[in-house]
Amino acid sequence: MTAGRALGLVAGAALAACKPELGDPASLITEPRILAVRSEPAEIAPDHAVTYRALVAAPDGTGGGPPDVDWSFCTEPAPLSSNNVVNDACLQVAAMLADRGLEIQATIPIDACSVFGPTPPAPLPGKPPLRPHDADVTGGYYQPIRARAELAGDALTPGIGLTRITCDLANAPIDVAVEFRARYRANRNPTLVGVTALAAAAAPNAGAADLGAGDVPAVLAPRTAVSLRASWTEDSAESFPVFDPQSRTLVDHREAIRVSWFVSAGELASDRTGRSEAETESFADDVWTTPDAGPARLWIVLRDSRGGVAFAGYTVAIGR
Amino acid sequence: MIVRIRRPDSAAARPRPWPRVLAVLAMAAVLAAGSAARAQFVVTRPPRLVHFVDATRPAGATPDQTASVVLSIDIAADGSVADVRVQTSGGAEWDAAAVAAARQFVFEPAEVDNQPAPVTITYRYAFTVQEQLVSLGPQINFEGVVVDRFKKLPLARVKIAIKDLQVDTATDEAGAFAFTDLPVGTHQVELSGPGLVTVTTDEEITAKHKRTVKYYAEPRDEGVDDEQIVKATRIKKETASVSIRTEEARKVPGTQGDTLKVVQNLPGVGRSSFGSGQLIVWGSAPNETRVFIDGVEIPALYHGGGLRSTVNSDLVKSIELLPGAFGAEYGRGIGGLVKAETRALPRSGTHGYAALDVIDASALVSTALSSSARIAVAGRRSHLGAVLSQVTSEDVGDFVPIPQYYDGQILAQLDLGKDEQLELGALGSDDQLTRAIDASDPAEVRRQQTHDRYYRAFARYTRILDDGSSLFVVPSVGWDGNTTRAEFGAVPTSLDVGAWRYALRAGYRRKLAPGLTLSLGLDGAGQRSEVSRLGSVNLPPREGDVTVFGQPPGDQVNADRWTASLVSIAPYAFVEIALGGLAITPGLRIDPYLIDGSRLTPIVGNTPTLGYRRMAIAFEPRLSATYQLTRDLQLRAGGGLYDQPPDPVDLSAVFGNPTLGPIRASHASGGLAYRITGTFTAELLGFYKAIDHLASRSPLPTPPLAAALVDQGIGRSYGGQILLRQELSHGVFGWITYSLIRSERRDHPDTAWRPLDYDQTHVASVLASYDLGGGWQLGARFRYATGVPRTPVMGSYFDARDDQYEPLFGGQNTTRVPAFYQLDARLERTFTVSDHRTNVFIDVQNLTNRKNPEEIIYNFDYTVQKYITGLPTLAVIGARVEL
Repeated sequence: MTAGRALGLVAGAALAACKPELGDPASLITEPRILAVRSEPAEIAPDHAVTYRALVAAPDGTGGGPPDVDWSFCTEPAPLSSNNVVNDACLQVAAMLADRGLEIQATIPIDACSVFGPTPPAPLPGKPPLRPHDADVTGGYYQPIRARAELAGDALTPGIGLTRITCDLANAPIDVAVEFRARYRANRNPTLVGVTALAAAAAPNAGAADLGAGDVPAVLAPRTAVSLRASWTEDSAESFPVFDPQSRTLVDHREAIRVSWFVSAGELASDRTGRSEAETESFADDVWTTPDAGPARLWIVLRDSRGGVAFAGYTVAIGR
Repeated sequence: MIVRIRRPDSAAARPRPWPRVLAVLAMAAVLAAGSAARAQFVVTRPPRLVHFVDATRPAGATPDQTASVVLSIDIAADGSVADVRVQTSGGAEWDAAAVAAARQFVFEPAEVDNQPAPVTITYRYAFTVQEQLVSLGPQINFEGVVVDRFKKLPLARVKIAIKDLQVDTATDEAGAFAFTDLPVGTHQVELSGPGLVTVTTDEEITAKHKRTVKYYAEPRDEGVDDEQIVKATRIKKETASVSIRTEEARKVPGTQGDTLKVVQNLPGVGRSSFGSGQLIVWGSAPNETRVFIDGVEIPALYHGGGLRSTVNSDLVKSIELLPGAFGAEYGRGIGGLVKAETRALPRSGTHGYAALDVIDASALVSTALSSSARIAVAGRRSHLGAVLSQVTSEDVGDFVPIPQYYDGQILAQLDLGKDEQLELGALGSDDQLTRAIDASDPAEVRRQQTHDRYYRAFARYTRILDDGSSLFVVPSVGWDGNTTRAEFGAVPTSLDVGAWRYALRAGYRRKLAPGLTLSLGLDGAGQRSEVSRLGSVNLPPREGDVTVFGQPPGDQVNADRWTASLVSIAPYAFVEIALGGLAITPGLRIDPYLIDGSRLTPIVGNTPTLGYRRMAIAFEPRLSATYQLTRDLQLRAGGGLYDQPPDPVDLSAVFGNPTLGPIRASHASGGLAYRITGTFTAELLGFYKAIDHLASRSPLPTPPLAAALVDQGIGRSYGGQILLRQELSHGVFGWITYSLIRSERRDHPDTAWRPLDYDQTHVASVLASYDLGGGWQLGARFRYATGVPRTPVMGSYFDARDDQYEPLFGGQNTTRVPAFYQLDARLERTFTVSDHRTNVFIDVQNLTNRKNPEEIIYNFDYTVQKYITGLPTLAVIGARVEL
């Protein structure tokens, strides 16, 4: 027998993208929506007061009056098997707070670290101990709060805010827990400096315009790709220690900052941009293709990776 | 080889005159005379020849010469011949011979008006060639050739025995055999040989005729020894099994020539989810079905994406699917069984092939090292990613996993003696998948990397003893590795599993008495797994998880590192009892599990870890029965108890439950098989499976410590299947299958039954392949499958911390992906180039370019639902050259 030989013949394989079109992007506001829930302070221990404020956006503004918002604390954690952030029951049954409106004050339930945190209730006699809740990737636990809004008689999709609560470490060695307490600083909300329209993408030397400067709205050209830049203070991305369950030591992290962009018209290149933990820049850019006519509205929500929130809204005139 | 025997009857060789003369009596003259004398006389009885004399052929006439002489014979009133004249000459010498003979004829006189009277008749004397048996010594009167049923190649050294005469012979290198002077009558012929199914058949030997036959022998499956089997039909110990030969499987459209991929088209097998290659057998989850190569368990039959099998097809002789209710030899799985058996390597020369197609490249070389030793080496490597990067859109990798893989096999076979063989083998497979989706939002960055591999080394000793009993011993050792790394934004997930696997499988089978065969065996297996896991409890996902495609996992993370050892040495025994048409196989298997783990509870502070060790014993009676109601109709039934040890990954104190025990199941099936023609069969089968102690996620928000999983789940699957199958005959093969299966789970006592995530109520496939001649082969396959269940999204809410909407689900698995149906075709040509057999094929999938929905996808706030569709028309062209 002779040695083998190969005959190669390759035909083209016709593959097309299998992803369907899913309609409007998340960044296009076509109906009233809750865009953010901010708690101040961003992190607090149970049984302490906190101020909540919701950001509600409507494509034509909320000129008919502010939305009516009722607030309720969720009382049950999500099942361990659920990927959702809260127990679905919170959408039906929750501890409703007395205050209503876009901004309210409330006190974090005293049992928050037990219900949602690392200190589960004591087991019943003869029963095994209960499993502590797992912390999120930043080592945090959260008290969820439900916000239900109505605008001009129409109910909006409910929003769930999560306030980071200061609890003990779960399962950590004592020395690690002591060190954690000494080094950890509660999270603070990031600070949004502002949003700047850098230039039209087609005319990069046209100069910059601060969308929030003065009472007169900025004017942008129609059907133009405009580079937008959201900036935040350098101390918005804080550093913090995290108990790593794998190495069982404290590992230092730095907050990532995410920017969510929303417009009432036109098209954004990205729904969200941001900076990862490794990126130290204090700004993030996006490109907005402006609509044919204005005015148009722009909302910016800044989030840090420990649940801190800042937001702002702008009205932009479209014209020459 | 010629075997001479003493015949009890030598009549067949008795000498007879040659040539024999056939005489034809013509009454034309009588009738003519009667007509002429009608006025006065009437012939009331014609003359009748009562003494015939053969004419002597002229000297010098050759045996094949013929002649015809028309005579006029005067017959006296007493019946004697008065005179003979030639009317039409056949030649002077022939005329004289005919006249001389005719003069010696004696007639019964004719009667005229009822009185004897002289008459004249016209007589044609024909000299013809007459066959005559003469004694020229022993004569072959039964001969034939034995060929491989599927490869159509002659088989040498096949024993052909005439059982009733106690004589035998063997085929030569051309597969030919012959017997001389077999006595007339019906004889029982038995074909047997190493590696062949022993068959018996009846042959009718008649006088003066030589019987020439062509036998198609079938390679034997493991465990079938010299047992008498009628009409080439092996005794089926299993109630439900389908076996496909590689020669057929390779030509099935949609498999790209991969033998083992044909399993996906067999009855009772659901369609694997898009790009997964999972085996869903009789409504079982993929991790409940076991795959064996020569008795050695391997963790994966297919490479990632299901594109190709992990074992080279050319090393595989046959593949058998047992969807359930199988015998006592196998256990530790509550689903089905897939058994592949390696083929006997060629006993001479060097053989092999090299092949290349869009998906991968592969090659195999086998050579005979000596008359008793053979070795084969095979390998395969994928290059699909490189091909697709040239022709497809950039984001196809986001939705279509494109694996990179390679595999290799080494197989050595040694003949230690007559019917004694040792096989040494090594198998290896490696799959890697890397996907990355970059985004300007750090929380939307997705990275995924998986690396799955296994390695096996084994020996397989088989022997057929002189008394007809057989034994086998298969020790093996191996290592399985599974690595998963994923990042969903800043949320990490990692799972590393490394497991050493040891196994020893041995069996002995002996016929105790006619119709009674005993099999004893030992099935030992052990594994030690080291597992490390980090991330969300809900990732990797499990069957029964309620989620939607693309939904990020929860961002709550934990970590654990543990070891788990599982050891089981299971003795088994079964008896095959044949009572006429009834065959019963009762069996018993005892699986004692020793489970040893390093951690019973999660690490808390500085407290030392606490390990555990426990034993669980499973008694598993099995029973199967067949009844041959008629020659072509067989009734079948079977059932038994089965169990499956816990997955070491589930024994985590953080992510699972270290106290989990084996899953239990009971199977029952019954049906019939009807042989419509020699190669066309119909099978109808119904089944029921019940499962308990299934591990499922704890439904509690705050479950007890080390109880993220609980073994409260139960399951059931039931249904039926039909198979109409035309085996390879006259260049045609194909089958039609339809399965009606319902598979359900109840995760906890207080929850409702729900469909299994993999449930497909209706699965049908029709495939056929036809040899067009000239080396052309054309095939087509049509598949239909009910869409898999999914949990509908009834609404959503906004997670303001993560800026994402979360789904609100309806009833679990109460909606489905739309049904799948697809037409595939395959055209191939085989020809010879410079003495090398060459095969070129085009395998076209989704010929109609149907956009089959594969998964449900939602927009950002779950108000728009669409489907991710499968691949459009995909043509795979490849070539293969054999040495």
